[in-house]
Amino acid sequence: MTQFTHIGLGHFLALSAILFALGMGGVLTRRNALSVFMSIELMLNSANLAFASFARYTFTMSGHVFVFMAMVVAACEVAVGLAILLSIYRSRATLSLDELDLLKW
Amino acid sequence: MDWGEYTYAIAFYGTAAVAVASAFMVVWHRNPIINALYLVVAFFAVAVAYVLLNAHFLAAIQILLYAGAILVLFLMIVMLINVNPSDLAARATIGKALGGGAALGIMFLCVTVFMGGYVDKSADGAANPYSLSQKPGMATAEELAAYLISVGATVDSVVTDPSPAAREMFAAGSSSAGPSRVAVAKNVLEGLEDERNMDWVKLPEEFSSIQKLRMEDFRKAALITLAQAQDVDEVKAPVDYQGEFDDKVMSAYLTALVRGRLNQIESFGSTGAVGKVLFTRYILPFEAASFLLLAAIVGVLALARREETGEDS
Repeated sequence: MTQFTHIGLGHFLALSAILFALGMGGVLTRRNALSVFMSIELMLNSANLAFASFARYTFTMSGHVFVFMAMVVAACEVAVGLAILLSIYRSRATLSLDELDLLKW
Repeated sequence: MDWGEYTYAIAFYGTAAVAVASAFMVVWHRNPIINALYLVVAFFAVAVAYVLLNAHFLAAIQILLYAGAILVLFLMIVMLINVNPSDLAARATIGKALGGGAALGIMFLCVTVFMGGYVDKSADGAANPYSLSQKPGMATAEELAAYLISVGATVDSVVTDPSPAAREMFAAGSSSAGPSRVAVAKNVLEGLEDERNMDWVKLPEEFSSIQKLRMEDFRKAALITLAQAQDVDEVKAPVDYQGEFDDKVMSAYLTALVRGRLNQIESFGSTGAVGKVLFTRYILPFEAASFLLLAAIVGVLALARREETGEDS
């Protein structure tokens, strides 16, 4: 029973893996570019959770700084990405990834 | 923070259930507005998980930055675009089945590995080797404090906010139940293995003449001696140490180390601790991040502004 009642590193890593896989499923299956973006945010969050778990495990602060940096990059990525989506929507009037095939050959 | 074993388990499973359920809805629901709202719930659940990991600063930043800033951006874009009703209809394709299958496979693989390798399977009552409160073989805050008291420090000078149980243990002055002084000293030297973690330590005056690198040699030498399970008092001075060296100096050195490690453990996750690392060791990435944000601002403005050559619609 102790593997379920004694919460340790493994449990947080498992939660992080589940969130990552859900986000990955969203990226691979969704066809709306906005929803794909949200799934990517979910994956970034799960990676941050793993960083924080290991930081707590070793009681060193470096992991927290990495999470901080990942959040900054995520903020930049969302700002630029959403601006790109908006300008795509202006010219194509759609955000469906099936129809955005200009670079496909 | 002092959590009971079961309180912690209940809090973790509750948080995990909310996080997984809302993350599932983010992926499953077809309407982007509903996706964004469930994403807020998922971010809040992750923030609670940060609190469970003693990362209070991260939890605050998570809510401010993700739930506050990024989600507002998402909702604004959802507001600006029209969701095509035909996009909301379900269409199953082979690609989607493959993608979903791959994600499920990764999930089961990772969960099996993590739950198989990094959880406590020992009998009831035994210490949890993967407990998040301590590294395996690393002294806990209580043991470190007990060590300090055993060499003559008082309770109030050692622990800023001890739990009642810890205070009782110190008051009795009993380190007999815990590991020996040698084990604690070894654990401290290992816990401060990174040279830069030594910033937490205020070394006694006798050592102020030694350079940092020499100090690292000294730390290694002490660790090797202690690894041979000798007494703390038998640790010898390194070659480079010029001053007078006796048990008193050695004791002062180890006390300083223990106090530094204790400070490190007690301030873990606080804003001050994050700031200390961020503005010393990681100052270059911090400055680079500011340039990244600047570039992002310029990039967004360049992308979002309308062309000046007409099309005013």
